[in-house]
Amino acid sequence: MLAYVARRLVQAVLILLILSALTFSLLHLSGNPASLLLPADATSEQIKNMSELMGLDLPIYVQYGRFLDRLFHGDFGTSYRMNRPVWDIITTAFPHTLKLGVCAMIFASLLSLPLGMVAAIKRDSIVDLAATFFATLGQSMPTFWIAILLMLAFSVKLDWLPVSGTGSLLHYVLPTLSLGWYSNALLTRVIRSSMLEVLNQDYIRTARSKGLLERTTILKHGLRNASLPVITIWGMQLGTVLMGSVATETVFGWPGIGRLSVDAILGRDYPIVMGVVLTFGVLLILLNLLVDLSYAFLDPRIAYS
Amino acid sequence: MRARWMGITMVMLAIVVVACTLGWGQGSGVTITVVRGTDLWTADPHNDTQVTSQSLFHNVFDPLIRVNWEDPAHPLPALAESWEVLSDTQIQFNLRQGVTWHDGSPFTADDVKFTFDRILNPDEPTKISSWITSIVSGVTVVDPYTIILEMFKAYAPIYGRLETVKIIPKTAFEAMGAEAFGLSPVGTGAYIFAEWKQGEYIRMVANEDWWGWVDRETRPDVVIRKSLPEGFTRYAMLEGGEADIVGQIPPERIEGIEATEDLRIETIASTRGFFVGMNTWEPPFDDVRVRQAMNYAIDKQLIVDTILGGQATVHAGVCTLADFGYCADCMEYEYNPEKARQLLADAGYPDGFTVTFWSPRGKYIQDLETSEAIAGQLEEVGITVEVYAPAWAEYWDNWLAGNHQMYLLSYGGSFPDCDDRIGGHIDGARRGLYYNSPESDLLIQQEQQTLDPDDRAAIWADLSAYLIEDAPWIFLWDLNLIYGVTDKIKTWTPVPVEHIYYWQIGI
Repeated sequence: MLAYVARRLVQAVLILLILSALTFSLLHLSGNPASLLLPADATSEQIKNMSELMGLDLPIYVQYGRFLDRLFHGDFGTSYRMNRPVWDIITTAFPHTLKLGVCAMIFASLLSLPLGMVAAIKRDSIVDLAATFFATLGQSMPTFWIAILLMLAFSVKLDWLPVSGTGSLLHYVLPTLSLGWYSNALLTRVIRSSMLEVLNQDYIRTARSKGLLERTTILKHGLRNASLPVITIWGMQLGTVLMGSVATETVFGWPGIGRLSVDAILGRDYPIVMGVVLTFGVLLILLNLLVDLSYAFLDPRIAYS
Repeated sequence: MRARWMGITMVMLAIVVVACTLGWGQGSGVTITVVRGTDLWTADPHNDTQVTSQSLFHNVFDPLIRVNWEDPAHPLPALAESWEVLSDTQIQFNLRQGVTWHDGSPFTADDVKFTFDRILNPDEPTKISSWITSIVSGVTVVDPYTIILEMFKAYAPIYGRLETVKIIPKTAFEAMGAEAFGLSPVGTGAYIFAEWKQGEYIRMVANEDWWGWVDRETRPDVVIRKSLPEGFTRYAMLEGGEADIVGQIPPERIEGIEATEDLRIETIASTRGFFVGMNTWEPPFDDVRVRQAMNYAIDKQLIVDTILGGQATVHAGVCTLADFGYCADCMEYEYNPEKARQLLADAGYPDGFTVTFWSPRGKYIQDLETSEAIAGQLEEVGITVEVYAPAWAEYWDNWLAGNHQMYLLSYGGSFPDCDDRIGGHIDGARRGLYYNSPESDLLIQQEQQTLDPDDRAAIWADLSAYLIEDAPWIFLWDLNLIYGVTDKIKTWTPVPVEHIYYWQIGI
């Protein structure tokens, strides 16, 4: 197991190197950030001067080399626009995204687990139809539209919940519902189909014929065996929400990573984009590793060597 | 490093002490929330060129002089109480005495010199440096309250330019360093920058020692400034009672806001003008008749009424209505498709031509919709238009490279002088990328060097008339600024640029 983890971590370093080289090249192909930083009436000479001062006139491999050198010294660089260390900016925004993402996943999990299970157990019933309809609806409605509808209903019309801000628990309700909605729909569908597959297996029939309680059969034998694909999807969804939902964060003015990344991409703030990509590269690789390792605990047949 | 942190700590302590010992009894006891569409990059006023950021800096810092929006030719005193033109290239400014920084230290001429030296430093230019480096050569300190501004040559619009330069404190800045100053700036302005919760809000409290208060007891004590990029969210903040002044209200929300009991709309024609530029160096737009035909072919008022909810003022000319230099008596291009077809035929294009029309997308209100409407109207006079609307970065790089054949663009001057807006577009000496002419360049040179406002206005009348006739652009409109305001705000009139002066808000 330890050898497996070590091998995966070495692979992770290689993946991150490739990821950083690709992102760096693509960013530099997108154009010169100096033209967006200076006022619109700046002359081409002023733009050229600024580019030189920022080191953007150097060959791309030299710029990349400098970036790696700084990175190995623990320095992500300084934001072009904010004139502050990238690491400070990311670590200010990330807790907001983390808190919202965790809330959204708790909401999605709490709702999707019973919904998906009941839909599978009561297949083709009204409950199943309702759950499937609910899940399809959730997956087909764009997040920004759900966010606006929620805001219109609960903030503007009913005046129950605040529109924007992060100061209290109430501020989390609408962004959580908005962000968790899609994950909930996806998880409901996966839990339902996974449970349906498992419930048709011989060992479930055996469990029932042994006279086991239906609850024990479903929870102990059904759910546990159905959980592998669910955990894979859950892990991927956690990664997605942790990377920040651009739509949710933009609509609610949530000061997280999603909004930061989009602003940085549109403004060609390369150091921030590189910092975000690498941070989340590390995060996603670790999440995937954790998901893979969890299989071994859930399914004794799986062993890593 | 330790000395720097000691310095920062001392400055922050001084601000806290000053803020805590202010006479709160003088104030109104009212907090207001202002919502804008974009967040600050930094609170360093020399390194954030966004107009909404500059708006906030006006409240925390003071420039030497301020724009007089009612009479642009006669600016208002700020940190300079008076000034005297010594020669074509020298202006002496007599500074206000008894002004203190938010940390309690006195403001002197050294601060002014430090500010200009920083911006003019070629080794470490700030992001606003390009606004003055070609105009101002330096500042000489005469005594602690007198400075002389040195210029390379006579430059009449200098007063407007100077408003964009916010004076920063030498001692505090050197103690804190640029990065820390960009998070907790120290100014002399009407409001003290008290707290910045990144991405959430900025809290500013009234500076009771400010020199410029009028009716202080009716002005807000605390201003919370938030940034929300999504138009609907800003509207919901207003409707939900979470904001008192909301900028960039989409035109389609005006009706709903006006129908709500305790809300109202404030609008004003702005210095943000819109036009369609043409590459006049290449056919077909190298022919003035084609450019004039383009102007006659567009029913601008129809587009304003249907797409912009009537929130723009149509007129010809390169200046906006608020600018010094605007020509009220100049000709207009009325909507006349017949005349457009005739002019195209005269120019040798009886069957029209095909053109690629670059359009921003999401940069300005209804920009792509506007471009598509213009394209549709041009099709009616036989011109085939292919609208291309890439992301702004691609659009702008190609614009700077001179690659556009025809393009929708807007300019937004931060001070009301027409010289500011034509510099980037029409003037060959600066950046006449898609148009310039010896005739207009000569008139521009003259208006820049004519210091008497009346004589300068006469040159501008000739220049405007010439440019309207030569039609380098399809002249469109000045966009209105639209603010949603709650009844808590009793008196407040917006200015033509997106600046909100908190000290003018009556509550």
